Amino acid sequence: MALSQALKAEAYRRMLRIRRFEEEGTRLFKEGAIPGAYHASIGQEAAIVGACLALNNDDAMTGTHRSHGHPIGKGADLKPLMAELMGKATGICKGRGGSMHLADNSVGIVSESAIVGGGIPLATGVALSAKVLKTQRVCLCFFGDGAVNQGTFHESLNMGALWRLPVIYFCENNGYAITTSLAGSHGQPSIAARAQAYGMPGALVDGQDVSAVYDATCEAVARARRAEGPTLIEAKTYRYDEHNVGLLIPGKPYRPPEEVEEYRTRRDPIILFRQRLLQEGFTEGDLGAIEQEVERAVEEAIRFAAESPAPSAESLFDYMYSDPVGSRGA
Amino acid sequence: MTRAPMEHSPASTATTEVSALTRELSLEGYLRMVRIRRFEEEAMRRAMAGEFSGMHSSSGQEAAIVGACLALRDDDYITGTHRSHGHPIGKGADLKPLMAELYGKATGICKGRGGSMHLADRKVGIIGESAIVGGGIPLATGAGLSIQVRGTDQVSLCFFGDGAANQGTFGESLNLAAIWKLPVIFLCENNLYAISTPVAKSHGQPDIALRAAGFGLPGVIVDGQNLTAVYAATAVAVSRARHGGGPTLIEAKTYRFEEHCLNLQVPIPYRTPQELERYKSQRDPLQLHRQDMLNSAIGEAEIAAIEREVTAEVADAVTFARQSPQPDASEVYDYLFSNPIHYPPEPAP
Repeated sequence: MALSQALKAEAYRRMLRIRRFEEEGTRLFKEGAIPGAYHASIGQEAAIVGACLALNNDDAMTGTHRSHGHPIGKGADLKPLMAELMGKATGICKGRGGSMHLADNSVGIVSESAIVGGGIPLATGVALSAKVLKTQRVCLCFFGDGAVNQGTFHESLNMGALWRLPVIYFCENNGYAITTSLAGSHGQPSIAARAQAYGMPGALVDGQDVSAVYDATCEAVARARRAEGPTLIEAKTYRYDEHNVGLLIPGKPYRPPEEVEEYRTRRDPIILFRQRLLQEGFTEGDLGAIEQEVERAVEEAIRFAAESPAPSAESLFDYMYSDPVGSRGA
Repeated sequence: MTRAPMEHSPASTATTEVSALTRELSLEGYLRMVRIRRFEEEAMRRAMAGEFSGMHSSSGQEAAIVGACLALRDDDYITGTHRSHGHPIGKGADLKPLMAELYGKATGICKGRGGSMHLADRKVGIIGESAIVGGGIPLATGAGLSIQVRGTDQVSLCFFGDGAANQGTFGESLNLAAIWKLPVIFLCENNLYAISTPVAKSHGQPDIALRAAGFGLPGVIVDGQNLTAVYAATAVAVSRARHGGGPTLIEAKTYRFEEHCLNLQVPIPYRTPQELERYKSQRDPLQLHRQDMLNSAIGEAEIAAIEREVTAEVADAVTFARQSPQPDASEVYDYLFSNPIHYPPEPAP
């Protein structure tokens, strides 16, 4: 299933929203306006957006510690996301989650979590729920190449396959688990090849090509909706920044600077797609309008976040228990 | 669509080239298989008579166990499972301390502390038998890492069941063993049922050996009722491991003749009596190997002598176990800490 012209524009818009959100977020983080750690999705936009565009609005998703791209890819409003990064009361998790937990329920995100491999059983459970409730909902599960080596991956994929659950296991393989290369941590290099172990299809796709990712995910989503079970998709992608912004890695570099440069200049998902759009009927004017619109949206998000209040001290114990604990005792 | 419970399909067994056992190993293999069978039968009788409580019988799985163990050296390591009696016997252990352990006696292989699920005989290389399903897999992988670090040419063989193959430890361990090329043989005794859950209702696809490719190691399916076939497949894997070639996953398709454990009442039948009967009458590893030996000019007299010898050994083991003392109450805290707790407490100075 090829992208329609309308979806092409939307794909470009969402990828750019991720890129610009992350660039500005990185800047704000370095300036001290965002606390905690910052894991940018820059470089991985096509993998995220290609997957998300294949989903319906009410389909579910789970994500990772690199959590900013997923809600934006699924169509979330940027304001509560930026506010969450700044720990504000208007944040998508009311300032409680921070950078690694941009879980926007309104676009179907069940969870973003820093527990590596932790989202895989959650997504499997959501798919089980969809099956039991007989909805047409599917669940897409984002995880990285490192998470594949967690036991949860093994246990979840077996159950997903056995029960033919409507789940898409989507690996953003960016080549490195922090600094550990795939070659240094996987018995064999193909993550898609692990699917066979569980009796499900495994698909390898160029994660820098939004259109290819969309096609592969559409196929998996259709299969899931036909109750034929899960698919494992491996999108080969790349992150431009360090694992988290400002991370200093002592000793020998774990990746050559030329490799990063090659991706930034020749394999950038946004540059590649922009060139393609110009060949496929879009004008500079069309794309320029999208770019301006994204610029404004990011600016507004920053202003909204900066002007929002911090959570009040009285609300400290809220959202922890169904039977709330009073902040000042009984 | 749920697949119906099924027996191991003939098409999915015996894919390895079968190299013949020597006459000596053939006899030794039979001896050990008969030991397991008679040990288990006698232990079941004793347990049902109330002499000790609870056990998981290895009857039916003897060829998978012994075939694998025959391919190992005395100084190679193994780890096992809750179904722990067959592994030490297969590796050549003395029966007396094993039977005494079932009775909880001080002369038991774990000094009466472990009981039926922990017949870990260090003398024959067993570093752990454990009731934690899938728990032995990372232990065996660690033993493999130790061998590699120390630079010896030992190997580590890990027994586990079809249920354990669905534990996260399986995925994590196989990947690490493959990436580090550890000298480990992952040997799955696939007896088709995790307690009462058939493989068809718990595995995305039925062949556990097919899981190997995803982790980058060879996977081999072997007829677990055929001693020679299991031996041959394991010998190839052991040779590969000893020469730095890394791990192998072997799936031995086997069958257990008893319930998951003694006195287990499964209200809803999970396997048919006909299936059980077919395995007992046509796929009994002892009968199959006995016939193989007769066909290869090993005489009835020699075979019968082994059987008589084992009957006597098992009777001796029971006598030894019954006559052994219980652990002393004063030793209840021994073996818990490197710095022992004394009981009764010593008076304060």
